[in-house]
Amino acid sequence: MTLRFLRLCMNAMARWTDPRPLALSLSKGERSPFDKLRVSGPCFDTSWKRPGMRAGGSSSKRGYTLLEVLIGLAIFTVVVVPLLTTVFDRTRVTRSRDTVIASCLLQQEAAIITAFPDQIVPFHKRRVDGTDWTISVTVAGTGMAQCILQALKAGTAYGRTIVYVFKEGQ
Amino acid sequence: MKPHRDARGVTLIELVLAITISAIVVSMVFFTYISIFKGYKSHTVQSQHVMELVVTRKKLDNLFSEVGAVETVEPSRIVYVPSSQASGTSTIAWASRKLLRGSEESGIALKDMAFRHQTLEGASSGVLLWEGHTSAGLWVGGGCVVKVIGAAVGQ
Repeated sequence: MTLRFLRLCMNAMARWTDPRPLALSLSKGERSPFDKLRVSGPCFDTSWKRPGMRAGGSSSKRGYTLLEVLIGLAIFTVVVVPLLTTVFDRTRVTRSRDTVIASCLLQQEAAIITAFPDQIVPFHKRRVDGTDWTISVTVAGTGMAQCILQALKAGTAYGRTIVYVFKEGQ
Repeated sequence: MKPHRDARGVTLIELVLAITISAIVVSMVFFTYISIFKGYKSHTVQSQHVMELVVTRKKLDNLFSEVGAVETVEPSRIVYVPSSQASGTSTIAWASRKLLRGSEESGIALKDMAFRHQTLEGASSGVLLWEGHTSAGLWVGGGCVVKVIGAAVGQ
């Protein structure tokens, strides 16, 4: 639908800029049903034919001129690029905030693990301002064990830290 | 005499259609740019809030790094022995949306703040946890391992 509309726009623009004289849109003797409504004004041709087109040829077969492509690209750029920029910027700000929150959560968990190494649980949930966070703890090694902590929101890791704790019986 | 087609102009329906389509397109572009502008403004404000969050967190870390051992932990006040001193206590308290160190302002503005303490029965160390909201309403928290002096045990 959008492509069709863009194509119509481009065709219309190309017609405005086409220096060749406009062609007759109706064949001899043919009357448009809207002829009675015609008002005076600049001459427009409602058909998409141009002089030089083969009889019976449709506009979809003639391809685009360079001007049409440039105008299409310009419209696309003007509308889409600022939209994308805004979306990406907003995502970046949200991600920054989540990264700071994750680092705060990890700082708390790291302190708890350091103080109570025997009470480590592999996963637990935290709720911060209505958002669920999952803290995962992976313990590797015995004696001075390495604990890898990750803070995840909706399955995405926003922070990771490593704590070494003395843990017996691993 | 044959009518001259080039001078036939546009029909009313064509005119109406052209105006309608151009009005739709122009209004779409207009509202898109308005929303982009608003989005840009709110994005700038959000960036400032995140920056405030980072700075507040750093200040809190600095403040709590001087806690050597905790004596009393209450939801809005802790009494502690600074790590730089062998004896003598100091306090960190949240009051009137500000964090106070002793009787002085620490320069940290917070919407709310709560302290928690976790320790095991008879253990000589525990965890001091703090969390609150910046003046913009963003959550901030942290924690550190601290020594425990009597009264803080079990709180």
